Amino acid sequence: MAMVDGDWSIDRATGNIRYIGDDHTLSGGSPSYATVIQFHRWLQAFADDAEFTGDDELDIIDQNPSNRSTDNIITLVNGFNVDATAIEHLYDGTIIQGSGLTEERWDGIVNFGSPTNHIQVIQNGAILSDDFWNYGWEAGTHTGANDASVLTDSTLGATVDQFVGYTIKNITDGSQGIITANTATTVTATLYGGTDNDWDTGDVHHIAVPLNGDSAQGISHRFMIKTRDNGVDIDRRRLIGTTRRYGNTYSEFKINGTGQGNNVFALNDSADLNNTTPWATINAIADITNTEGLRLIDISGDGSTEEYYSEWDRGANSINTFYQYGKLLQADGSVYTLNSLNGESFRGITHHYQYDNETGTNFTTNDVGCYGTNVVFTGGSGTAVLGEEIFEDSATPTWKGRIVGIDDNTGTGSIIVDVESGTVTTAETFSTTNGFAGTVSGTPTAQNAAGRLIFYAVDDDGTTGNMYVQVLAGVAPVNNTRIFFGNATADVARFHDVDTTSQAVLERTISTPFVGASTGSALIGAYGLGLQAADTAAADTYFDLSNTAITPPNNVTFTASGFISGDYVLCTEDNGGDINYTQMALNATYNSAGVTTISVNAIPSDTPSSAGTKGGIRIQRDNGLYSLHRYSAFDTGTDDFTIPSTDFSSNNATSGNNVFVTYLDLVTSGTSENFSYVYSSDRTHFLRVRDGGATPIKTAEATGVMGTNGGVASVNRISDT
Amino acid sequence: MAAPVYATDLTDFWVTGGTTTVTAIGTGGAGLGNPETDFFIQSTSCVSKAAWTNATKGFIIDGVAGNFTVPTDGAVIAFMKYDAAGSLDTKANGGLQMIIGSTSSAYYHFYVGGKTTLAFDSWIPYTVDPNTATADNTTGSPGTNERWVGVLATLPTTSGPTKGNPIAMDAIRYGRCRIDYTVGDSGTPATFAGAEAYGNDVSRRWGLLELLKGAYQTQGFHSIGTSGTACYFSDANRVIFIRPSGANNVSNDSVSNAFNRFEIINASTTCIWDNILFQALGTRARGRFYHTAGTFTVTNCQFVNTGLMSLLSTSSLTNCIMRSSGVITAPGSTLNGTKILTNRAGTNLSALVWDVATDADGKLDNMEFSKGTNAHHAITFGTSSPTTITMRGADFTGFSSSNDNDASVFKFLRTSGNVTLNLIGCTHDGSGFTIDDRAGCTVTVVIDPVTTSVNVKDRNKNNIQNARVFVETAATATGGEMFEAAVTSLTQSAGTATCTMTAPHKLATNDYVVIRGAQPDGYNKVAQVTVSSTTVFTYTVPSGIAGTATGTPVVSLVPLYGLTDASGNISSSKTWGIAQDLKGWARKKNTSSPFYKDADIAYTVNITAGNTTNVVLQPDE
Repeated sequence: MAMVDGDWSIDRATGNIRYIGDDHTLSGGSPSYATVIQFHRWLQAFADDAEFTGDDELDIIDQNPSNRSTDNIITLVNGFNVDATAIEHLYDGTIIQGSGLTEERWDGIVNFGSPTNHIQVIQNGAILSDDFWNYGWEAGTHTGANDASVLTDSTLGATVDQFVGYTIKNITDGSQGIITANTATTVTATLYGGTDNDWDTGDVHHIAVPLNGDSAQGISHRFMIKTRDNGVDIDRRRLIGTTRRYGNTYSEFKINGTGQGNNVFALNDSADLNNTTPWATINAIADITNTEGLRLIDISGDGSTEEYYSEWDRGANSINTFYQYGKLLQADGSVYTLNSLNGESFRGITHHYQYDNETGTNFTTNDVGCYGTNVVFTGGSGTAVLGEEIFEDSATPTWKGRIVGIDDNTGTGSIIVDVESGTVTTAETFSTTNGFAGTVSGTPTAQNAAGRLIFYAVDDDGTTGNMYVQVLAGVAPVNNTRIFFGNATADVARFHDVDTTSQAVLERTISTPFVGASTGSALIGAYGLGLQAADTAAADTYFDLSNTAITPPNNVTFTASGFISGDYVLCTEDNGGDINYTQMALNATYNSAGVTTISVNAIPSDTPSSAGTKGGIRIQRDNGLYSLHRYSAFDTGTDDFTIPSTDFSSNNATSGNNVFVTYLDLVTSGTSENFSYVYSSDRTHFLRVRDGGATPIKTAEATGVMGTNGGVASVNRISDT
Repeated sequence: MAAPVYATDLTDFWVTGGTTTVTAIGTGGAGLGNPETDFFIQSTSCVSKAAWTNATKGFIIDGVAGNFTVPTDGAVIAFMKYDAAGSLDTKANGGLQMIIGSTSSAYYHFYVGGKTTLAFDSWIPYTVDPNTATADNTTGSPGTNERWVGVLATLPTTSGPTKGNPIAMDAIRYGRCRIDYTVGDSGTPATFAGAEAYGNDVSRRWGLLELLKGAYQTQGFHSIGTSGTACYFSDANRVIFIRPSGANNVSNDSVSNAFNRFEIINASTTCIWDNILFQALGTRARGRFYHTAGTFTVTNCQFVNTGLMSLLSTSSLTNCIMRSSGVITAPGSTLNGTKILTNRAGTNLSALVWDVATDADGKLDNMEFSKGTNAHHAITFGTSSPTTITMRGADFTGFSSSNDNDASVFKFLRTSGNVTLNLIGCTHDGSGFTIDDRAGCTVTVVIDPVTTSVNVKDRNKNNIQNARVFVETAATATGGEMFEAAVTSLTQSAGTATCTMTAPHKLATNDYVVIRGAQPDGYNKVAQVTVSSTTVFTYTVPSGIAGTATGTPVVSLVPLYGLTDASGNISSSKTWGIAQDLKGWARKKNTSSPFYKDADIAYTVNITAGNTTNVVLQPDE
C-alpha cells in the first residue's frame, strides 16, 4: 500500500492531517494504508512544492511537517498532527506529535502469527474497544433470505475457502463466528454472541481479515496504538495482546513498555479440539457456579485443605464442558463478569505478595488496591478522573504523571499518582487534564512502583497476610509499597504494605484461558483455580495458591450386584475366596465401656473415609465373634478408627485380635450397592450374599477387583428352596 | 624579438620636387621653374611660388599624369605653407587654399587657412576629401575625376610680400590616410612614437602623425594590426592631438567624420594604452575608436572631444576619462573607474550603450557619468541586456529627475519582461536614478541592495540542484520589512488577488511575499507581487476561490525563494534599511533515494555586505 492523495487532506491553518478515504467497514469501499515512512515521504514531497493543490495544503511556505528518526519513527512537528482515524490507516512504526503536555505517541504493533488471527489489546486494565486492526477487508451485506445460517453476499467475489479460519461478524446483530467454509458468494460460520446469531436480509457483515498482514513474513497484523497522551505515557506504554476466539486456542502476549518503532506481539490461535461445543450450548449452561475469593478446598484428598481463589461447581457438566464454559466467559466480546471484571479483561492472578502493617478495614475479595505517590492536597477544585494526567501547574511542569487513585475530589484529600517524571513537592499547585486542581500539602514520599490491582484472594492473618492479585495497570508492587484501598473512591486510611521479608513478590504465570488446559477428559488447572473437590478427578491437576501441583484422589467405586432387596450383603477384602479376617489387628485391648476409638495396626490408605450406614469394621471379640462398628472416621497417622461408643467390658477385644473392613455390611434395599474409596492399588474384594428369609437362597459369593477405574462383583442368586 | 612594422596606404602624388607637371596660376610664376631647395618638408625640394598683393596666385600639379581616386573616408594629404602669414587674407576669404581639380583650369577651392590660422605655423599637412568636402570656390567646370592638386594664396589689396616664394607645397599623397601597425611583441611593441619616427621621417612625411613640442598630432586611420597581420602595440604617457582635419574648408567638412580613426584589428592583436591623452582639436572627424578584434586594454587614458567608441566584451578601459566624447558602445566591456563626462550623445541617446546579456556587475563599477549639452541618458541597456543588472559605485550628475525623459539616467530598450537594476553604492546629484523604459517592460530599481545567497550541499559537499529555498522575515523590526503585517482587505477577481495592507508594504513589483492566515487557503502562498500603490499589491490566485478572503491574513516579505541552480546556489539582491532577522528552510524532494531532511535557515541580514549561507541537507534515510 502507499499514500493515496485523495484519501488524505492537510489543513495548514490547523496542521490537521486527516484521512478522508473509505473507512475499514465501508461496504464496497477502498480504504488505503501506508507505512509511516511512506507517510513521511508523502509529507516531505508536498513540503517542497511551490504551491499546494487541492486539499493538501502544504507547500514551501509551511514549516517542516515531519522529521524522520528512522524509517519507523516519524515525528510530526510544527503543529502538524494526525488523529485516531488517520492513525488507523498508518502502520509500521511510531508517530509522535506535539510536545510537553500535548505530546501524543502511537507505537507500531506487529503480530507474528497465523493470518487468520483476531487480536484484542488490553491497555491500562481494559480492552481497547475499537479493534480496527482486525478489519482489513471491506464490509458487505447479506443478500440472502432472513434467518439464514449461511451468509450470502452476491458481491463477495471470494475464492473458495479463502476466508476459512477468519472471524466473520454480523455487525447488525452483534454475532460472530469462525469461518469454516466459503464460496464465491457465501460464508459459513456458526455465529454466536449476537441477537439472532443468523443472517437476515440486509445484515452487514465484516470479515475480519487483519490489517496490513504480510504472510510471507509470517505477519498477521501491523497497526499502531496510542501509548502516550497529553504528555504522559498511558500505563507506561504497557500493552497486552490477546487472542480469545471461542472455538480456538487462546493466547496472550505482553509488551512491558513499547519502544519507538515496531513492537512485536507473538499471538497465534488455532482450532481448539477441546472447544468444539457450540457457543449456544455452553452459553445455556446454568449450573456452573463459582464462589470467588480465598477458598480452602481439599482437592488433594489428603484430608488437608489447599488455598484457591475460586471454587467452581461444575454442576452436572463434564470437566471439559467446564473448560469450555471458562473460555466462553473470557472470550472476545464477553458479557460475563469474572471477579468483578469483564471477562475480556480478566486474566487471573498475576502476582502474589505478603504484607504487613495492615491499617483500617482490611480489603475483601475483588476490592481494588492502588499504589503510587500519595499526593495530599488542599484547596482542591474540580473533579479528578481516574487515569487522567496530572502535572505540576506550570508551562514546563516539574513533575507529571497519571492518577491511579482518588481519595476525595474536593477541598482536601489525596490523589495517588503514578509519577512519570519529576518530584512532587509541598506547596506546589497542580492541575489535571480535566481541570482538577489543588495544592500539594506536604512533600510525599516518592514511590518506585505505582499502579492498580484487584484482590482475587485475601488471606488475612491479622495485620499480615497474603494477597493474590491481578495487576490491572502499572508495575507490580515491590517491598514496602503501600497498597491503598483503591475502589472508585479510594481511602488512604485503609492500606497495607508489601513485605518481602520472607518472600519476594511473586509473578504468576498466566493461563490462557484462565481455567487452564483441557485434555478433553481432564483439566490442568490454572494457578489458584479451584473446583469443589467432588468435581475434580485424579486425572486433573490443580495448582493451589502456593503454586503446588495438586492431584485429586482417585475415588474409585466398587459396585456389587446380583441380589435383591432384603438380602444381606457383605463385602470385604478377599482372601482366596473368603473374608480376609486378618486385614488388620487390634493394637490395644478394649475391655471397658464407652470405647470410641479403636487403634489398629496399619489402616489401609484406600479405606473409605467413613463407613456411613452401609459399611464398617468388624472387630474380633475374645469370644470369637466379630462385632460390626460403623466408624465415622479414621486417622491413618494414628491408625485409629472413630466408632460409636461401644461397651467392651463384657466381651473384651484383646490386642492382636483380628479387625477387617466391611465395605458393605447391610441388609440391602436394592439390587446393587456400591462403595468408594481413594484408589491406591488394585484390591480384590470378596462379596457374600445371604438371605434366609421368606425366599431363602444359597450363600452366593463372588470376588471382584477394585482397579483404577473401580470394580464390580456380581453374585448369582440361587434359591435354596 | 619582432620589430614592429609601420606602413601606410598613401599613394604618392607628388613628392619628388621639380616643376615638370606644375602649372602656375596667376602671375609671378617665375619661381616654378626652379625646384625650391631652400625649404622643403620631404626629400630635398618642394614647389614654391611668389605671392603678389591684391591677387590670388599659386600653382597646380598634375602629380600622377592621370586621374586618381580618393577612397572612402580618405583624403588628399599635402604639406602646404605660406611664409608670410600676416600678408594673407583670412581663411574665410581664401587666404590659403588647396585646390583639386580635373584640369589645371578647372578645380575646386578648399580654404584651409588664413592669416590668423597660420601665425605660428610652418608646414602643415592639410587633408581634403574631394568626395566629401564642400568646395569653397570653383574655377572652371571641374570634371568628376580628380587629377590636379595645387595651392593658392590670396593676399589682401594693400599688403603682401613682394619678394621670394612664400607659397610652397610638398609631399602630396592620397589614400585612406592609414598607418598600419603590424608585428611587434611585448619587448619591442609598436608605438605611436615609433610610427611617428618612421612615418614622419624626412624621406616619408606621411603627414599622419607628427611630434610637435612634445605632443603628437595625428590624423587619418591608425590600424593597430591589419586583417592579415597582428600587432603587439603598447604605448604610454603620450599626448595625442587629433588634428581638426575636417576644418580644411570653410564648411568644416573637408574630410568625412570617419576620417580619423583608431582601430584594433586582428584577433591576435594586443593593444595596450596607458596614460595617453587623445584630444580632438576639431569638431569634425574627432577620431573614432573601434575595437573589432584582439585585445584592447586601456588604462588611465583620457579621451577629450573624441568621437564614438565601439568596444567588444573583451575591451577594458579602466580608470579613464571620456570627456565630451562620443557615444561608447560597450557590449560587456570592462569600464571600471572610467568617467564619461559631458558626453556628446544626441537627444534621447546614451553616453554608454550596454546591449548584451551580461550583468554589468563588476564591469561598470565606480564609473562616473555627467550629462552633456544634449538631453541624453547615461546608459542605455539594450534589448539583449539581462533582467538583473547590478552597478556599483557609479555616480550620475546632471541627468533629468523625471522618469521616461530623454535625459533620464537609464534607458531600457526591452519591450517585455521585468528587469531589476541593483544600484549598490551609487550616487546622484539629487535628481535620482531615473528610468526611461518602454511599454511592456517593468524596471525595478533596487538601490544599494545586498546579495543574499544560499548554497545547498549534501553532506558530501556536493552541490544540490533544484533544492527549494524559502527565506522570509523572522520578526518585526522597526523600520524593517514586513513581518506578518496586517491586511486591511484581500480580494480576488479573475485570479488576481488584491491585497490592501494596513501600512505601507515597501514592496517593489516582482518582490516575493508570503501570505498566511487567509481563508480560503488559496490566498495563502508565496506570491510574486505587482505593486499598485504603497499599500496595495496584486498577485495571482486560483480564480475559483471566494472573492473576499476571511480569516486573519498576514504578509511577510520573502527575500529569497526558488530552486537552486546547478551549483547549488540561489541568490537575490535587495536594499535593506536595517539588519533584519530572516528565517526559512531548504528542501529537496526526491522520488527515490537520496532523500534529504528539511534544513532550517536563519540569519540576520548584513546590510552592507550581504549574506552567504551554506546549507547542508542531511540524508533522511
